[in-house]
Amino acid sequence: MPSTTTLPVHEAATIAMDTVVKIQVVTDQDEAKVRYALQRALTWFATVEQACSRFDPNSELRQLLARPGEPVKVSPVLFEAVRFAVHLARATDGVFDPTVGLRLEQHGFNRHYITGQVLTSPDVDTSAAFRDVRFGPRRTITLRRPVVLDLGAVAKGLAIDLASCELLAFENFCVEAGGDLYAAGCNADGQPWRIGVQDPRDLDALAATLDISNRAVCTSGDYERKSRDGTGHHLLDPRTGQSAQGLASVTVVAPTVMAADGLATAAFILGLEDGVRFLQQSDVDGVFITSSGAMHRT
Amino acid sequence: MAKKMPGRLVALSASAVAAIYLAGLVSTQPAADSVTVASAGATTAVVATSTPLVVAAVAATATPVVAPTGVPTTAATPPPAATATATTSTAASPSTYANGTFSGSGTSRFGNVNVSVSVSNGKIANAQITSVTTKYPASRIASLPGQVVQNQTANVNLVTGATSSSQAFKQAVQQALAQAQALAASSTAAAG
Repeated sequence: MPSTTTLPVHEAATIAMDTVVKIQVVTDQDEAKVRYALQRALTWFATVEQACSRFDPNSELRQLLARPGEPVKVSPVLFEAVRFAVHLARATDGVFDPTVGLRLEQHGFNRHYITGQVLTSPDVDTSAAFRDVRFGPRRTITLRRPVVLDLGAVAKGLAIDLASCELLAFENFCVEAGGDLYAAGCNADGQPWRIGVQDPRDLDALAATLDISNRAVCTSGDYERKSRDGTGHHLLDPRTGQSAQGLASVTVVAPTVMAADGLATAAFILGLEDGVRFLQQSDVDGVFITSSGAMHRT
Repeated sequence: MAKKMPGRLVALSASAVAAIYLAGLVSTQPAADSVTVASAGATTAVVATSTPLVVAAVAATATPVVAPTGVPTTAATPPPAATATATTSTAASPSTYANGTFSGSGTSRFGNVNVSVSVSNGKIANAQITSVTTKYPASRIASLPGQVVQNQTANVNLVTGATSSSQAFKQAVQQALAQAQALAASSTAAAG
């Protein structure tokens, strides 16, 4: 696949999911074709956000949360996002749990990133867990108790994966959103994409580099989103109700961004020892950086 | 822990992506075909320069994003009877924004983001990127266990875990909204 000629680079960007989305396509194919594919790719971010946002009172997710106790038919996007999040919860015995949404709201992660609108959910059951989310035939979801689902660890990755599907015809491209990415083929120099891993304690520096082709890379870190009181971050441990401790960041390399994102989040909450074992069992590669700055690779 | 076959997770994620993508293709293929034919003309808001930056707006209001014709919209329309129990409040009073389109820029250690924010009826209607530049530093590899990564200074293409572009975009939006607020305040003062 590496080539000696330099191909044109086409770029696209948008704002979605509280972050900046950037796409690069490296190809000498017809420009109109590239731009059409880029537009389709960007649209997936709006589609997934509209389905999965916890911050938008009109999202499909919020409509689902408003109807506990009955089977609700949902879109393929919401169905698959919730199903993957619940599978991840089962695989970690609830250490990762998408029903952590209420606690996130209580920690101040409840503000829409553009409108500033604050959402609060007064009527949820604080003892509810992922086991209260049931899947039925014909894409129905039943919430056995009122819950607040947070799909933050899943939805952005899913959107990148779907955007990438639109670009497969070009072979060489990358889709990045807020530090999570999929890189296919080669960069403009005909080499594998060179990915820097953010140093979690010195944001001007990189802790490592990875050469990536046809793989997703995601990082969960304690420096990403601080709670409003400044004492915690957004990766809550359901066992304690507090921010997970011990690790500064976990980077996962996997075939899909949804898997990489979810597994990185779960491994971060699990901590170093269990997190390494979990990634090995999941057959993906990881880079762990501890709070003291030590680095471990699986 | 983790005794419930985590190895299946990667396969599950791949089949989930495929299921959604195929559902989108099936439901939008006829429309997509018609747009492909028409795409030589003007289809969407694409900036035509030598290195075209395709921009897409994000809807920030109650109005769902309207997808351009032929793009994969797989979301089923939620039942109209559904009402959200979540309550909302707005941090800044919407009436403090003047109507119009305002631009702002934000900078971060890895680049700049310029945005355009439009305000309609005192509310933020949408925000979109007008340009974005990215510049990553040459990697300064900290001390690593010898074999894993060679010391090198090559530039990286992307950085995982870098969230500074998000902060730059928020800064840009705030700058744009500050103009909308200032304009609203001055017109209020003039009226008073």
